[in-house]
Amino acid sequence: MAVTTEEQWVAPSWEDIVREHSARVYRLAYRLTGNQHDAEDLTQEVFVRVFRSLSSYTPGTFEGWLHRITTNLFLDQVRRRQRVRIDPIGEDTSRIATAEGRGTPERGYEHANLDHDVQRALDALAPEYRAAVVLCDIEGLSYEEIAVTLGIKLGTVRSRIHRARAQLRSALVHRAPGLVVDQPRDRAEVSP
Amino acid sequence: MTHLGSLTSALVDGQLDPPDAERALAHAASCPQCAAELAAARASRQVLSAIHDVAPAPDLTARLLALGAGDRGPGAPGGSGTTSAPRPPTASLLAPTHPFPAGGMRGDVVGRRGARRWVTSSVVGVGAAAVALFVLGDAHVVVPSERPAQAMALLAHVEDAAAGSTSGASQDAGASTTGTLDGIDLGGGPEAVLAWMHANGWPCPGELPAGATVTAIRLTGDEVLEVDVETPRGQLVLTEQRGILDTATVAGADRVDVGGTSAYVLSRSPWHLAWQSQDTVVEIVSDAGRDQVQQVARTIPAEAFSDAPPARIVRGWHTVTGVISGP
Repeated sequence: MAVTTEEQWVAPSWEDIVREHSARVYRLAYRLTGNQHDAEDLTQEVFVRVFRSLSSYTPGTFEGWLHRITTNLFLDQVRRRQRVRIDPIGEDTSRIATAEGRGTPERGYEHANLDHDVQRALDALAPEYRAAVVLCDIEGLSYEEIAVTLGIKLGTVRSRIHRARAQLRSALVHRAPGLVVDQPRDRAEVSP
Repeated sequence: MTHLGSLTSALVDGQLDPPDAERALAHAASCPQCAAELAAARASRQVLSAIHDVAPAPDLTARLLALGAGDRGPGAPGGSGTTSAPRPPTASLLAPTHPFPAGGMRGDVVGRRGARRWVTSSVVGVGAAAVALFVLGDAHVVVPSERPAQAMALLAHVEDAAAGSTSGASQDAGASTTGTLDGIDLGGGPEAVLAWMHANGWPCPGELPAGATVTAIRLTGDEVLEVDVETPRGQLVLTEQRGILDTATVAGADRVDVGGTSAYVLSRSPWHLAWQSQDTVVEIVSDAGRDQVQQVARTIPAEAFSDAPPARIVRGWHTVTGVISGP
């Protein structure tokens, strides 16, 4: 917005971009994929896209663009995997990851295991729902921003978040004792 | 006022206009059910937003920095400081990105890789070639998904893709899920698309419902053709892939009459039909209502898959030409 009054804008260096944005991309990637390995692969893939497309970079749009690339790549991957019917998130892998994390608590990037139950609940959501609720609750995007990021309508954002939360609350009832598990209405709400 | 439904989340997220929020709160005050939902949504939101942050491992940051090494301006780290050897990009980085083929809808196409190997190794002499074509012409078994959820996901994808392209959302992301086939001008209207399908050997509908437009047409690496049609009553996705319908898995499904032979009804909401049309499995998924679906389906003849040698050889030839002219 303020671009007109600024003198000519200088493109940031690659290092600036990585340092400023890698944590955000990784966090999103982690919550979407549910484990460190896939999150790292996804993050790396995102930055490869960023690197290839730097020429089209304009200031002010970068965060939204990163959110979009990350979620789109993630959803593409999920759909491709569904197609070949491989389930990458088995019971065993999550158990191994947990054990590993407990052994090395000093490693900050594995602290996600503190919220293992939350991540498991997220993993259980359909990928499209997971993306919407993660962008909303963890990344703090508005519904409008989520609509643009995922390329869906505002009403769809609302219903995805709503259904995601309805599923999450039954999985996370131990986290919030005040929660009432009571969702007879959700079934009846297929066509809003 | 009716119950809040999905407004609950919008209310919790502060995404409603003040008057709407006021109304919603007033309703929740007098409705125990919505009050409980509201409390649950708040709690659920709080759990997620209180989740611990995760930080990237140092070696990931090093790998990311190394991506820019040598290619960029003064800011590039030039490989310095990367103590661990950069992991080479994952295979998927280098692979061409295929357009999103819409979930498990298509089922599995068996034997594709094997076919490619046959092509390179056995197209030698004429006799050998005929044998090879016969082998290649072996049917791919197509297992359509019986789950309505996946059909709905496919429709949602069409809707999303349409919304994405109008806002420009998915275009520059490099992960675009829509791809328009070369050589087709969608501006030419449905007739141009149907003509193209016919010319390329895809079973094609005689005509589309009045007022229908083709919003996208995709051909994925597995020889799956997907045509997105927008009718005045809703979306319709026509999917075609070479192969033989796995009748064992759809045996329990209802049948409807299509062009003289029966199609399997895999779902009614949305409509999801599948049937064999010669060497192609045709599927239609649509929320446009029974009439529109039938109108399209009726014009694509259902014909049994032929396993006689001439048909197999022709099919094998299709496979070879597909591989040669393909990407």
